[in-house]
Amino acid sequence: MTADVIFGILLAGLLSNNYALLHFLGTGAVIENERSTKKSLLVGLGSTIVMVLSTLITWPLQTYLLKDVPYLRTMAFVIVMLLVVELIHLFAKKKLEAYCKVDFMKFAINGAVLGLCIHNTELAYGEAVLTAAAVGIGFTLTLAIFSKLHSRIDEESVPKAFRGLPVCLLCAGMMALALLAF
Amino acid sequence: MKNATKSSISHKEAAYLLPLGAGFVMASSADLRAALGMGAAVILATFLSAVVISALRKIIPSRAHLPIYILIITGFVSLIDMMMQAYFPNVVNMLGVHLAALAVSAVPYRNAEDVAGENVETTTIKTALETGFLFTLIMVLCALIREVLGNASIWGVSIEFLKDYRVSALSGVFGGYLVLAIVFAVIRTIHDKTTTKKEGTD
Repeated sequence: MTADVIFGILLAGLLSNNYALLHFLGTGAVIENERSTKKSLLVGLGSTIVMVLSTLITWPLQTYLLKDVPYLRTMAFVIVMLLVVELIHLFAKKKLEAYCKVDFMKFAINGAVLGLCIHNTELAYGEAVLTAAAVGIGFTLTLAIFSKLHSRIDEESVPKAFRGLPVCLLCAGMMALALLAF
Repeated sequence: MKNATKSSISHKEAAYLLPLGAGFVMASSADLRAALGMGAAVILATFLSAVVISALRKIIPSRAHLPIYILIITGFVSLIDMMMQAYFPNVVNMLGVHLAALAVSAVPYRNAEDVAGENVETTTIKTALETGFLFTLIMVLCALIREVLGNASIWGVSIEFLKDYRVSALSGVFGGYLVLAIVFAVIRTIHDKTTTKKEGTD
């Protein structure tokens, strides 16, 4: 893998391959996010670790074991995700609870992780792991941006029908539109 | 029963569940066939998982709720995926990874956790079906707007007189956000007006 490819994958993960805004995977977790920026970064970091570890396991699983039994893919991938999240929860529970009271298990098991694992099986192993890290960083940044966005939306100046979710969706749409340019 | 009534989406605004399912609603609302396919998948996944979880609620230990609920939902989603691949392969191609991602979506999970884990089957079935049908309705509404105005077609058949007036942005990513925001705002306004009228009558 050349430096150009590595840089390209990392940049794509942040911009054009943004799962939450452009692929509609994990969008709910991002739109719902009303945590502070610090907490969002921490939770996003946890999700990034889940994405990388899940890809590390699911890629060989798909390549060597599940190739002939595609109907077991979703179930196998979900079991791997659950095990990874449980493992992280086991080791980082105290730290997570000290920084933010969030049910990390509920947050980290989302469509973005499963979708990423499925998409990554089409890439080479190294590229898949790098993509997972890049997408995770992009997901974390989107979470942090949304946490700031939530605090800056002046609900009073928004028409009543558009308060809450609709205005958040419009903001997300404009962010997606900006990312589409890349 | 009281709890189920609280959770039942017909008695409160959809604001609680809609953000959780916003992803698959926007992903599948670019085409009416995909919207109906996803709608059927959501109804079946929510309904079947709710029935099984409700029946097993006394056996499942409280500490193991999350993994067991998710595995039950994943089992049903895999089953629906296989059935749709056999009978509607085009719809499965349109939905792509989003059909599999339904397994870890918060919509069937929250429904299972809030209602099925605490109530008898009849209440659970009612709430699960309400949730499923609400999402299907929203997806179909969004798909109608996006496909007709964005693609100048309906059910894959092009509408000739609209071809020159189509707004292609509506069928893209931004269209998904925009149309869902408008549909949600309209639903909220109607809901608010109905509630005010009811309160006035009482």
